[in-house]
Amino acid sequence: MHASSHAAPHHDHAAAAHHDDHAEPNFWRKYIFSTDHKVVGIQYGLTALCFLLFGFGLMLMMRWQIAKPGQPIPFVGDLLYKVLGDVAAGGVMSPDLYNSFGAMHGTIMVFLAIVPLAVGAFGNYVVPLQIGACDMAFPRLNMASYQFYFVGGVIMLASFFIPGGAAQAGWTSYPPLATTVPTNGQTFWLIGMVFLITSSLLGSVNIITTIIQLRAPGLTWMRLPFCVWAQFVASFLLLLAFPPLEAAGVMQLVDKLAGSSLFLPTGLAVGGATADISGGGSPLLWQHLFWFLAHPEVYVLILPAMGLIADIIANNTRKPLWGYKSLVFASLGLGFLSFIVWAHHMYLTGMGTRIATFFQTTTMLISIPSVIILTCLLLSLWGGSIRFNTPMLFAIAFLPMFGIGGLTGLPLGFSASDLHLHDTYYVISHFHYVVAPGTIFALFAGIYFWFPKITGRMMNEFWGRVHFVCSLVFMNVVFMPMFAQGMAGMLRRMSDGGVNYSQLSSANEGVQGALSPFIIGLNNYIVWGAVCLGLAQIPFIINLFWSIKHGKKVGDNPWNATTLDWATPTPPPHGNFLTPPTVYRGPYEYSVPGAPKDFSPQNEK
Amino acid sequence: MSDHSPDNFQGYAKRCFTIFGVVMAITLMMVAVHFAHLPTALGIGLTLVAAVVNAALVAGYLMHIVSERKLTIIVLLFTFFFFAGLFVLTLGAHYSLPWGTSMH
Amino acid sequence: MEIPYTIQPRPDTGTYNAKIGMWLFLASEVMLFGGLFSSYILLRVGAPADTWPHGWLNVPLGTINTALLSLSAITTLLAWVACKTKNYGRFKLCHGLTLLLAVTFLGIKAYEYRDKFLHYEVRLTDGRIADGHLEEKSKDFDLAKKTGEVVLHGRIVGSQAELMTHGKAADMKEIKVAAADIKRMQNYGPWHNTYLAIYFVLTGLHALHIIGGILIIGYYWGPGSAMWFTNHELFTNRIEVSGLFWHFVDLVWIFLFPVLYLM
Repeated sequence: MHASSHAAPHHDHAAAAHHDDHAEPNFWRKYIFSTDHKVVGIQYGLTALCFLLFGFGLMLMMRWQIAKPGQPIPFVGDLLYKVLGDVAAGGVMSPDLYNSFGAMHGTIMVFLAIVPLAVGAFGNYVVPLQIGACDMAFPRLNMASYQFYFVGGVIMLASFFIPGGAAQAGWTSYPPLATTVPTNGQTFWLIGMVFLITSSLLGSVNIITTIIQLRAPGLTWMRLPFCVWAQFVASFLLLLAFPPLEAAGVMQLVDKLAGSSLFLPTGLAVGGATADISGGGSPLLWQHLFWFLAHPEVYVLILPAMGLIADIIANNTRKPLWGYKSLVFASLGLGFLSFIVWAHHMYLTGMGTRIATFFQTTTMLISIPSVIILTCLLLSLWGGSIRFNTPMLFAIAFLPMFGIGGLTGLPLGFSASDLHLHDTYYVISHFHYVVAPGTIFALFAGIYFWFPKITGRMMNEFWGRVHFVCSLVFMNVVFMPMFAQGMAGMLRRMSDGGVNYSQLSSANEGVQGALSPFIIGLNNYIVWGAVCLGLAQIPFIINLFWSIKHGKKVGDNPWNATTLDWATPTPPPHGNFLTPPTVYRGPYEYSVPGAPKDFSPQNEK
Repeated sequence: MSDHSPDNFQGYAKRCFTIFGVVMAITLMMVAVHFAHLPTALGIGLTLVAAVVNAALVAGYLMHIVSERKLTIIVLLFTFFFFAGLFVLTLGAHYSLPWGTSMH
Repeated sequence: MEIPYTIQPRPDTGTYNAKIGMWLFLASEVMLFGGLFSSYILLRVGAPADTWPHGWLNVPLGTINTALLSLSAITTLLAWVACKTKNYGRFKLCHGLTLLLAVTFLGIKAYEYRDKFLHYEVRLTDGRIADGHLEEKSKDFDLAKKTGEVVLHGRIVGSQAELMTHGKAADMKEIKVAAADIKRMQNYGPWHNTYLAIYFVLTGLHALHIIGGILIIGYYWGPGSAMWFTNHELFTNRIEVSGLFWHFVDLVWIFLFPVLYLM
């Protein structure tokens, strides 16, 4: 359906904003090939949510195999066999398939779901609005960045269906395993990563330039909403940390396609025979280059989330954030330090104590800005007039959940305790706590909070609370037991759920440290928790789509917020603001003594 | 851009070719060091210093970093700090071995 | 609303949008090549004695390439100056030269790559190694069937370690090797050893950047030059920003040349 070439008559204010714009674009230019940051943001958001669900599905199937090794997966087992063939013979997940799903779960969740949602969706949609700009600095680059992301995602998904299946060497793709697995899944992974890294690069250049150059008059750096600061620092991390991984990815591609040995050591034996390679390469080199990105990457996962939480907390406590300056300087310090901690992922690679101590020290130091940020957010609740709406519930829950995640990182940061905990379920639990009831809760909060700005309607509050309570409970049912499992010594990436290393296996008769049946039994609770967690998302999905057409209609600023994003018409038209805003005050002027309302918008004189 | 807006092509060209001349002279010096077969460490050291000087000339004058605002210079300094961190720490990890072990 | 500061600089930052964007992009490129250079260093210091080659690359050709690229950096800058002084003919001349120099650089690089792919290490059954450029293969040459022979222009050495230095040109001669005497034959591609692997990756990625630069500068020299007349300031900015990219590509070569060719 091609729109005709005149603006829709009932959008008078939109037409006014269009005065320098031309004809109403057709469907393709408006929704698919749009350069408008809001459309790009929504595209990122919807695509990322689909990947989030898909990655969750992969995990569900894995958890079934872990809890009930060798048993056919209910409902989807036959479908898996039909689609993927022998790796799912009889509807049972084979170890190879388990490894594939594991590698892709991690890759999809980190690179295709969370970062695109946190930075691509929220960054693109909210940042130009909050700084009073009419769009991003480079709109066409923005569109291109989404397209690269989309292509990268397609390549990653396609890899499931090629002979041999998807990549199987973990999201970390360590060589020599990653290179020597004789199938092409890893090649697809590497090519997909090149597209995703390119997308990320274009996006981060855009966000940083936009924040530097397009701030409205009066919007000084220290008047920026913390949400914008968080996106700024996260974008710098993406900009500077991704390229070494791109370099490493290219090198691994050359190893795989041209038979070189950049990461393959001399004397490597594959399948019992000495490999026909030149040797001389270094598997550790890959680890250094990978973790050089992957550590700052985790701060990219958490910083935008903290930004969203900060705005939502300030708004729903009706008071300014506690320690705005501390938040800003802590996030800058966090960003800076994140580049020099990476080898705490490599304590068991044979590094000597001197360099291990260096990384341990910087890792301990980086917990300081983290704690500062969390403390500021927590203290912001003190004395607040708290409104317990759905976004605020998620925001408040974020605090202890992230607290658990962050604190459990400390024993991992100390090289001595990490000797015991490395590569166990303790690590899995730690990072899932930070990302799952951490970042994802913040993203949910953001969706509920900004939904009325995007659509002009509120999401249903009752089902929002159901979603919240169920998600909170079941997240903890799934991840809390994993700390115990990890401390008992259960290792990661075991497709039989640890049975081979447990007392349940007769081969381990009298072996000290074999996992107890209790620890193995926790897997059952975890899988049912995961299933319930999945069911808890159904009200959210329905709510999201249903409310677009049937949610309670609201005005331009239903939350009575102060930041510039709430000073636009709803939904914001092309160009965002009817008149270019000027900023007169800071971002969180709530309950200012003597003011007429309990909030003083940034752009009101 | 800023105060260094060129108004005279010939004058500008002359300065550019001077930079080119210096860069080529340093390059030829590096080649000479190579053919002189100096002891490895000295050769590498001299060559790297020369390369850095060449890079500084290109970056400073041709890319106008000398006349850029502080903001750009600060971003670039941070980049080089992380660049250095990547090198130094990776090599540090390579050369750092547990007690009682030796290389090779 | 128009996006501000696409042409005029923003007062407090002192520059326009595209320039900040390009500097940010170049910062990421520094990290990209930084990752590769640090890989080079780690691979080299980790290599056992007598396994890292020296002098395998043609220094005169590399020096010429350095001169070409440095000159092209100058012509790029002068093209921008021509934009600023509103001299269209000079702009066309300067960027035309840039393109010519860039293409020549690539041509020399292609010649060097071809040279490597023609260079074979032939391990003989008696333990010696023949090493040189493939001159001709007999029609019935088949390594698996052990028929035929090859003619190399090079030398025969006793051990792998001797291959690590190039050897004098004067000592090279024609060597005929029968397929029956060959244990293994491999050319100097990235699969041959880690030095060549990192050489091809580094110079290959650099060459891709040169090609990218040629495409962008070529576009603005050719069809895109119409913007000179429709929006001269924006055009000048585009030339400045693409010039920055080109200078960066030259910068990378300033390190690539000594590291790969001279050390």
